[in-house]
Amino acid sequence: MKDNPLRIFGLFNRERFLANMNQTIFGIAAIVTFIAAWWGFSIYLNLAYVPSPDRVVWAFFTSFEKTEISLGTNMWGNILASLQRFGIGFVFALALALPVGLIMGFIKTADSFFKPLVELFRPIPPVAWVPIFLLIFGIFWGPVMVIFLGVFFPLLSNVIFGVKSVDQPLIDAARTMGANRITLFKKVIFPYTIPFIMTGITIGLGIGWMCIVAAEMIGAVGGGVGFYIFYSESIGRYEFMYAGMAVIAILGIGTVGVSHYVENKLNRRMGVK
Amino acid sequence: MNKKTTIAAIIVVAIVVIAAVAVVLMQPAASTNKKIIYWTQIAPVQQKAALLAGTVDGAVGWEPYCSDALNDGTGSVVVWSDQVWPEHPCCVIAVRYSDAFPNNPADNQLVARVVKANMVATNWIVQTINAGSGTNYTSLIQMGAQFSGIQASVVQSALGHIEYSNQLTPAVKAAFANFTGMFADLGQISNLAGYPNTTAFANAITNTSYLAMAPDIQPSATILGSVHLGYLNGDLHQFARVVAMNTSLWGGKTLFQDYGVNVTSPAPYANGGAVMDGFAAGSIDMGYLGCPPAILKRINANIQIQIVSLVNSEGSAIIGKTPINSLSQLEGKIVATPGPASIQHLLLLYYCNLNGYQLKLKGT
Amino acid sequence: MTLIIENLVKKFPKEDTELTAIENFNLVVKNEEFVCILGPSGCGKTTILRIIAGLEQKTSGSIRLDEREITGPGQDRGMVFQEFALFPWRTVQKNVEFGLEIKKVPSEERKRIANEFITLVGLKGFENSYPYQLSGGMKQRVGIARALANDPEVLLMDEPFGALDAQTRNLMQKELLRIRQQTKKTIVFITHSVDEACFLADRVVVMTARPGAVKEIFVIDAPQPRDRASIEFANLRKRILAELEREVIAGPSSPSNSPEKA
Repeated sequence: MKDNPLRIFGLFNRERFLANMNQTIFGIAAIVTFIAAWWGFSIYLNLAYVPSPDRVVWAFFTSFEKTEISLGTNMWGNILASLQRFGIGFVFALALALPVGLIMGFIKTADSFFKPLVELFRPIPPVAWVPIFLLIFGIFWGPVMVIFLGVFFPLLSNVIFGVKSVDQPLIDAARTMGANRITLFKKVIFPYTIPFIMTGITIGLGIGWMCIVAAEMIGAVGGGVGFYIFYSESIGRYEFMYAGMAVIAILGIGTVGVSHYVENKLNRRMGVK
Repeated sequence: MNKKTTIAAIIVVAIVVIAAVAVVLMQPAASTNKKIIYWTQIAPVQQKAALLAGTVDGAVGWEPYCSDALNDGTGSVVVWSDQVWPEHPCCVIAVRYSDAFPNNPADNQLVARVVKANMVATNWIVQTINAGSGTNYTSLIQMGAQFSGIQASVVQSALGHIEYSNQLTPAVKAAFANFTGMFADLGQISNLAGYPNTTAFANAITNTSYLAMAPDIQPSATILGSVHLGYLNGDLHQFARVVAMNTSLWGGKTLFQDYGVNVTSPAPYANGGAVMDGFAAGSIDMGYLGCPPAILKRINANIQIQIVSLVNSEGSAIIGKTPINSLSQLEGKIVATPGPASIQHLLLLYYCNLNGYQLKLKGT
Repeated sequence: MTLIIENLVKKFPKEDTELTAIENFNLVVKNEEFVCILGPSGCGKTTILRIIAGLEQKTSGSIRLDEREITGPGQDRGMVFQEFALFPWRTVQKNVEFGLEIKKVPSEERKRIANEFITLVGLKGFENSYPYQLSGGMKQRVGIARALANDPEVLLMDEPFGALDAQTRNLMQKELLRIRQQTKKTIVFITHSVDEACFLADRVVVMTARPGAVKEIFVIDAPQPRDRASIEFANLRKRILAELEREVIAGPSSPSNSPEKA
């Protein structure tokens, strides 16, 4: 807890680094092998579809520097557009999944009421909503709503699961100390659910990034990284398409990584080491 | 104890703040001297619904989707493409040159025969439209309705806006050069596939030899070979292929078979870029597609194609949601386009610039 | 303070029929008394404690605390759980303050009371630790401090040392006696260990197998601290064990599983 902040990322943890030496070596070996194979294939195939890694790296940096005239923005603008879309969809999903999940977990009649609806809509892939959301919600909110759906259901499931898995002895203990239903909810059930919410957030973030490309297939206001991928493909600049894919991967790894870190810290605190 | 809670809270607040700042930043800047029209990407098949829903205020698409929106009053014409670019080329037939095809005189014969059959079908369409009635006309409209999934009256209007012709005239080549130049200006291409200028490139990408062979080609009693032919989904620009494939018109076989070629097609492609990908994947030998994606991917993806016949010219329109019927009424509003690689997008861009408007992606 | 249990009956619905877990249980616990309830597993001893705590409803009969009928949970009865039941997101201090927060005791006062009981159970210096950082014995000390902080009239303990190893268990028994000495609390203590009952209790209530009722009550007047190695202790253990064994062999009257928690 009182760690040097840099140790958070395991960067300055020598013991752990040595312990994970083998893993690290294999990890690096895998990446090197992959890049070598990729490079070999790109030379062998000599196709625009399989640009060499150095072309993609070049495209990656170029996409940040150069404004794409048709889109009126560079990669930063696309990232900002995607993040904004993602952030709004995510915050909305959180704002709705939390109360609904808590209520569904806590109140049996609410569960009976909402459960059929949730079970009905959960299996529908968020991507399936893309065309109709465009018409119902327009070119700004349509894609946002796709993200919203992608994040909403995994989050909801985790919140409900969290509430339902509260240890009975904790509830008993609180009741013997005079807790009524409301304080029980405030002081026991909600705090207990927090790590589950965090797990839901981590899963939701992962799914959200998968949805963003689909969400931006249509009417993406201000561009977006997913939109950029489609655009680059449509004009046949495949190295830029791969660069866009790399950007999505980095955004995904970054946000999921932070979320995972917070989740682990919370789990430790909750005694679930 | 609250150190971690604080960190978690800071992270949450940071995310919310970033989202909020993003919302503010992404609002289109209000103050620029130039008059702005915004675009967004919506497939033509969805454009009418988007106009109805108020998602966009205008659209630029191809027939029959223009007529579909116009006929019931959802949209009003801002401008037809022929008013901006008279006789501008649109869809073409392209051939991919690979190790497998067409690498011998026999294969070249097959290409010429497909071009010939397309030409015969085109002439039949033009004559039938000019006649304006009769059994041929009725069956033409029916074929169009069936192929595009749009009602007959809409097909009828749409056919009035498409020019069906095949010759790759100097004017057509000049238009190819012009489109290539526009792509270069947009930064979508950074080279001309080794050619010194857009005119040289347009000449190189165009091969008129098959059209030149066509007048001498006669129907063949035997099948000489087969060709995989790609085309776009529901696009009435490529009506000649539909007519040529209709066996009831040509004595129990397709027009291609009449000229000695068995034509097979994979599932229709969604756009010209996908047709080009079909070439690269080896799924098709020849294909119907718009000339802009052919130019773009010829250069960027180095797909070795040549344009061997024109299919149609004109047949696109910029429309506004009724009562919008001029470009000035679209100022500050959003126009749907099929995407920045399409001829419709270029049309909108060109027409905006011509009238002193800047075309911008909504939100940038 | 007197706890009076009269003709307590508890039936659980079981498929189509009812399962009688407790039948006509009668007991009077006097002020400052330490009563151990001992019985074969499945006899309903934990159920009785939970009914006293108000966590479960009785089917019929009467439980009165100073003539007030018990109908639900209340701060006049504190409970200590076998599973510790500490809130993992709260520090030791905050766990002990839980009941006081509910009572809306001002924060300064809460802090003072919590510190007092943390000191009493010997956890001074661990106020800011989280439960996962504590050993089993320390966790149960927190559990005891938390129950006592509400100043209950009777302390209900449900096999509180059942999850601890033998050494810690012996130590905790001694600690409990010391705490009792200092707080003078009335204690109802559930256990299945005869040794534990003999070591701790003023009276040991031996229950019958299901349906649970009082079989016999042993009064232990040997003074504290008791010597486990003494002959008196061994004799007492022997007598209670014999009584208990007869019940274990007889088994429950209905051949179904116990609804009671393990």
